Amino acid sequence: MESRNLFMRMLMHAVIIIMVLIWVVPTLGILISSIRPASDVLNTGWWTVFKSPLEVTQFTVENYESIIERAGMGTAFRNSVIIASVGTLLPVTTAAFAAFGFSRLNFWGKRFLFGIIIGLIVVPLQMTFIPVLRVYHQVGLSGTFLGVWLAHTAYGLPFAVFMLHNFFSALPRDLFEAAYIDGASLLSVFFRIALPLSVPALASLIIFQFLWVWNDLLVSLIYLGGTRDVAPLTVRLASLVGSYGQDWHLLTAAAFISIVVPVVVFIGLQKYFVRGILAGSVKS
Amino acid sequence: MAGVTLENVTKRFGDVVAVKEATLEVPDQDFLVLVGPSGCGKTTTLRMVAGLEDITEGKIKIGEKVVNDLPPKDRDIAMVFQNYALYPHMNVFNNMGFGLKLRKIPRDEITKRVKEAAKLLGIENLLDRKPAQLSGGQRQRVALGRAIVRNPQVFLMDEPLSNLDAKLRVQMRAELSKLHDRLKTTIIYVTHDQTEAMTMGDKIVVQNEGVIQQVAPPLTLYNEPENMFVAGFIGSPAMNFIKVKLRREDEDFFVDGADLNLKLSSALLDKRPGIKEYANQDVIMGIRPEDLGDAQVEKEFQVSDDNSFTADVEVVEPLGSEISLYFKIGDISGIARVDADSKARVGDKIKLACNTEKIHLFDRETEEAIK
Repeated sequence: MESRNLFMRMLMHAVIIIMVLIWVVPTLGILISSIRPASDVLNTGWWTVFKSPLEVTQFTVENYESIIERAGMGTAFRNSVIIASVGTLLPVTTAAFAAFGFSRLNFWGKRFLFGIIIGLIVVPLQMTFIPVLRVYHQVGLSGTFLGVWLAHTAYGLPFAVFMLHNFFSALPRDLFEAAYIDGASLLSVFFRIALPLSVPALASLIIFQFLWVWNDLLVSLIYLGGTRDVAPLTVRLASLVGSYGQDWHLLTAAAFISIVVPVVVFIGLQKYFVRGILAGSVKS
Repeated sequence: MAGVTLENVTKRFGDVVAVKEATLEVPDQDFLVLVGPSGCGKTTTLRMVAGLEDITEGKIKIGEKVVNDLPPKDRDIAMVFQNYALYPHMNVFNNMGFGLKLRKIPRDEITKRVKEAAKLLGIENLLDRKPAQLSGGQRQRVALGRAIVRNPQVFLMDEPLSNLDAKLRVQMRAELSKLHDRLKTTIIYVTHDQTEAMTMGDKIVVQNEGVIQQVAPPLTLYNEPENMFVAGFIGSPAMNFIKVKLRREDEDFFVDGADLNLKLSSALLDKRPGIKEYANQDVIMGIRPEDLGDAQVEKEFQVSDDNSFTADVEVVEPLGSEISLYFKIGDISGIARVDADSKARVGDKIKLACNTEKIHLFDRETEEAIK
């Protein structure tokens, strides 16, 4: 029995190590390629740096300099941060209020409205492009950050409301009632009880939404267009592939810039993430 | 401090009547216990007093003020929940001080009150801990502390001890009673455990299917139950019920049926003169297990043919200080709590003595006690 357990543990570790390698090796490849001179990138593989890893001269930041200055990746990076931060906070905040209302308040038509919101999760966003774009043109929102923030909020909201609603509903009713008896208003129950207890759910939702907005190409392309002033990293990267198709050293630098922020966000919130995706699944 | 009054309070959930025309007077500083089986409406009654449930009909007053439309926070009550309902993200100090903080009480005063309550409950050393780091008993004390610091007019407690183990429950029961003596605040306490009700309440309300069956001090409930439900619910093991005929012979009354024939004592007839009006009618006899004894070892009263009957022993449960005998007479099963000296064995035919002064008789139709 014990040897069987040991075998299972070893097998599990092996699978995990393989999965980690599958993720880490290409990422490492991109990072190393992005700090190698163009000639090296074209002539030798990135792993050759490990022959003499301490030889600093084989590394350069030139690729980053040229990608940020020449290709406008700096502006694109700034745009991505602006789009993704507001495009995450706006739907998550709105969803938190809505989900709390749906899970803790009684009002006429609640089930019907909630049904509609759940139904919206499965509506393909492509269906909305033409009508929304026409409205955006009329009210002057197309090509603006506000337009894309609102679009991301609308697309992210149904799932966010659904997920937070499940979490709020799983919190014990007695907690809220105890707070009401203690003298809390509806708003203080939301801010002092519901939100602090929902940090894991909020964190995982922020990760989901941030990754989705950060990696989004389609919505940005449709509502913002390819103008340099407003285009995010994904749009710039896509156009770089066209204009610098052969310049791997530049593409890897651009790719790495686009990876780094989601990784930081994920690592920052990951301790909540695992708790969050299990939210409400087990009675504590 | 204030009393609580319910006047014809009804609560309906759709077509289901959870509480029906409850009328109740809880005097100031009383410890009132609501007891009944699951789904009897006791918790709903408490929640209506708390303001957590709307009232369909009727009136609830705390002190002289009608509170029907007041939100919970304006009723000046505190509630202790069955599962403690402590805020998991706050430490014990903040859990206890939360209500005071919301009421904008100065910080120094909050600290003073929390520390006083913590001292009273013996949890001063736990103030920095989170609820998850506490044992069940400690959590229960924190929940009590949270109620105490508010210094409310009425404490509402919803089965606060039901999550504790048996030993701790007994200990907390005594502590709650002491706490009530010290604080002198009106308490309404909900439980399904009749031992808790009997040991703690100044007065007990027995509820069944949303209807109040009887409101009385513990011993009155035990000795003078108003109906078969109360008689069967209060007392453990439950009262035995046997269908009998009340036979009159001159001035004497007998209960006949199911292989038994017992003469009612004159003391009982004097105490409940109404029995005589049921002469020669079918009634239900109730006798508590503790009022039955093994005739061979019975010491409390004289055994004769008039107050004993033969029964088959089916199960013997020795409890140390006494023995529970599960017996059968005819096709009726019953329980007797007999002296530990009894030699009865499973399968024996034994003579059980009945303290006929303690017999209860009930109307077969209405199930009301005959008085």
